[in-house]
Amino acid sequence: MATRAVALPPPQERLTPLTWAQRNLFDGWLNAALTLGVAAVLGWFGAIVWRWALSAHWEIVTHNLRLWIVGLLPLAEIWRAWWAGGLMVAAAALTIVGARAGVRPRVLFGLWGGTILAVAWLFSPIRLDQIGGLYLTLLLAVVSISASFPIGVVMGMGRTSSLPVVRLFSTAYIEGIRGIPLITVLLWFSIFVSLLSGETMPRVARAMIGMTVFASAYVGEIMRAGIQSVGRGQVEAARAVGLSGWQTMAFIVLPQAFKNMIPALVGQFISLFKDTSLTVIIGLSDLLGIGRSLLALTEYLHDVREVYVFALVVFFIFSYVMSAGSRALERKLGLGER
Amino acid sequence: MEQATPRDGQPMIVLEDVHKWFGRLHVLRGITLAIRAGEVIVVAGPSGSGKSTMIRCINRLEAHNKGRIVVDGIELTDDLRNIDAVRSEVGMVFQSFNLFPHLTALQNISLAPTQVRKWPHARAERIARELLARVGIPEKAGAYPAQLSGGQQQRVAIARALAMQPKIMLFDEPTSALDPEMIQEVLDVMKGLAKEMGMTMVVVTHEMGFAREVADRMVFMDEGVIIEEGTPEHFFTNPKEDRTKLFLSKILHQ
Amino acid sequence: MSRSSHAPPFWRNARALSIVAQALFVVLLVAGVWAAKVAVERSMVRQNIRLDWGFIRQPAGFQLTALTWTVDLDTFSLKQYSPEDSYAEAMVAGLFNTMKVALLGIALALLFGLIVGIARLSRNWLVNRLALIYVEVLRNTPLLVQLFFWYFVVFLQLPTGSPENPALTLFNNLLILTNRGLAIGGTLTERFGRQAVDGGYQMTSEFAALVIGLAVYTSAFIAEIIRGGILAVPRGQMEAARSVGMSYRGALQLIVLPQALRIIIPPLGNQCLNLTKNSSLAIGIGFADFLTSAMTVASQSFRALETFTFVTLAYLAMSLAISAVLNVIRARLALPGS
Repeated sequence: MATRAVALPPPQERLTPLTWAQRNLFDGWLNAALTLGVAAVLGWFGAIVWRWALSAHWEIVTHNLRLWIVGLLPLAEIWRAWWAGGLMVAAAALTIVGARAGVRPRVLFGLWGGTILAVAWLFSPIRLDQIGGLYLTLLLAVVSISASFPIGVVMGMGRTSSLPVVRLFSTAYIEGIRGIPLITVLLWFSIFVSLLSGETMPRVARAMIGMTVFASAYVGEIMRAGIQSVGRGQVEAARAVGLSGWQTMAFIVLPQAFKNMIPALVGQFISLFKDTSLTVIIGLSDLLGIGRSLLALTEYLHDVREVYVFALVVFFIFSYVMSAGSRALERKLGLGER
Repeated sequence: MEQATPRDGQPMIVLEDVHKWFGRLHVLRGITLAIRAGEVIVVAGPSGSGKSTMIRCINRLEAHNKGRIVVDGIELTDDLRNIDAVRSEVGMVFQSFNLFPHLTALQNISLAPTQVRKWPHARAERIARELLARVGIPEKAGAYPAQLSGGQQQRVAIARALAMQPKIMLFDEPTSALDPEMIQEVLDVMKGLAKEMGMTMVVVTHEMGFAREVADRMVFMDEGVIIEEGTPEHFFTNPKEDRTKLFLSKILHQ
Repeated sequence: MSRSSHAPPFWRNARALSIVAQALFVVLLVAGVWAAKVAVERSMVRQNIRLDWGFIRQPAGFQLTALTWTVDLDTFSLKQYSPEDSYAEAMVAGLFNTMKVALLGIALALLFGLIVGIARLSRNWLVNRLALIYVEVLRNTPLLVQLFFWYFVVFLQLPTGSPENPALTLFNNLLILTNRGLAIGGTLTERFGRQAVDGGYQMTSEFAALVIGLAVYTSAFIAEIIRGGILAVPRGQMEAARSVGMSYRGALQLIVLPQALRIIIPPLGNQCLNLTKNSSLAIGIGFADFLTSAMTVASQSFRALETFTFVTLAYLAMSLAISAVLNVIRARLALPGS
């Protein structure tokens, strides 16, 4: 008589800490030696760092938090910065909650659009060179990636164009800029613009232009990869069914390309965020710049370790959180739900 | 517009001494073929014989280098208007389906009619639903391609091609990428097209059972040339050329 | 019978349209470049700036610590750099330094990256996680901040070599570290009341910080590339190798690694290119690499525009050269038929 096969749960394997350690740390004498050796070095090193951290002069951070966050923004205007920061944090929190709850993307875009408008309005009376610290770092990164996006999209489409002349020009632009270091681009724009227009344009604006141009080449390369990731078969099917070249691009290629580009674009933003630290070389007071300026004061002359460790920690936290968020976003998009 | 020719009696598709090179590779070496309205042609041959290239030339996915191709009285040249006119009369079904993954099945089918023929959305949607019913999966209208099986995807692809109300349907190895148990459902739809709608069809396939049942004429190609053509009975019982016999012996002992 | 083909009017002809579109594009491009050129020239006249390309033959008149070797541009022979040499020869000296940094940096980065990459694949939980922390910290913090850390927090904080603060010696005087630099294989002596080193291979703190900083940073990316490459070899390869009786080690060596190598080489080459471009950050810690010496030339000669054109072209040439080498390597490694 045939019996129905019933699906049973798997046998439970109880992993005590001992068996886990046995398997993962002391598996064989090489691993055991490695574990002990590495643990010893780690312990010794960790103790040194811990002792230093407890006795370090953290006043350079704690007494100057305002400088670190908004730079030399006049005290009377600080409220704008706090409101803007609060709005962005609220918008971010709402986005996460809304995405989990399945709110339509259009609503989320609207939320961010409104937030950005509000922030722009809050900051409108402020001069560009009054902003510093963490806010300047964020401002540089956001402005650069946003302004570079349209240029990059156009260049990327030109890079994959069927017209050889357009392709040549776009390739020259993208590969030419990618071939030189960012600091060269920044110095170029800083010197070039000041030479030609006198000293009229604030340094922050020059840095923004430089970073935008630099970023546009990388966005262009991402766009190219995005377009090429849409299989040839898609274009053939669209042409076979009668869609024109532009219709194919608009309805079939670009929607799929943009979706495929999102992880790379977020990665590029994170990269740009870290690269804003280079503006210290052209004299800007971003997060790193504030730190170095503080070091010039007599009371903080020897607090080198505190400044650079703090800068590393802040950058790490922002960057890591953004990367983790991007990975979560990728996983969510990968499910393909709408 | 090129002067419309009288259709009755005139072939629907005419290929005259068509040559095609890919770089230095001579893929089509003088193809001459005439297909009448309502005929079902099955093209067979070893891989690399140029069969796919030939049918892709018919709707200008590839441009032929020499010779003439005339589709429903319209000659295929560099003239963009001619190319568009031909494409709106010829539907194509691909081996890898090529459904648009970011659109639902319904949207896949109704996109071209709304954008190219400028149909109102309501009409396009109605026709799309009818076509989905015709290919047997009306309940999948709101599904995305990733949620459909291979056989269902290919059937949606056929509906998408039919939405433009073509006079000719081209099939480029439509079942080669399908699991065996799904091949039959697609072949049944194609059979229905041939028998109930009297569609002019050019099918590149290895499915000899389908050929025997549905084809009016079979064409055997090898190395860019048509080796032999004739009715299915002629082909399977009494092929003339040696190369034809060799090919048939290799694929018929399944 | 349809009319035989006489060429359709050009606005419907696919080929003619493509040519017209490209011609139009070229016309617009040329017009744009010409307009920009006119604007720049007008601005230069207004500011009383003139371009003078011959200035690079003039004597440099400055000395930077690290500028040692250069090429005599009349006889193309190696010589020691001195302030009587031309600006061009000063920049060549900087270029030599860039190459030195790049070569040493790449070598160390590959070594560290290999170790950490293998550690990332280890089954030992401690080693694996430690390598993960290494990679995440280095990739999520800006390179410039890391360089500042190495320079100001590590190398400049080494002992001064005075009697109260003797130099740090490791491996029985094989490695001697002070805050002025490090020496390998030299001998410790005393001069002017302080310790000094005779002989051996000596490098300044700036050079050491730059090389170590670049190598460690790049090694994090290399580690992930190596790990990714090994994981990218299909599992079936290892399975097939084991099923014909090969040992784990043998399979790794003969089957997995050769295939992984093909996957790894292109992104690895890209990282080497990045390291070379990133060496330009030497300007932040005062090491006389190519960019730094060019900046000095620019400020001494007041010929910023011309100098920067040279700098841009030089970096582009370096990028193209390395890319070309990479392409040759990739072609050599490619399997026939792929």
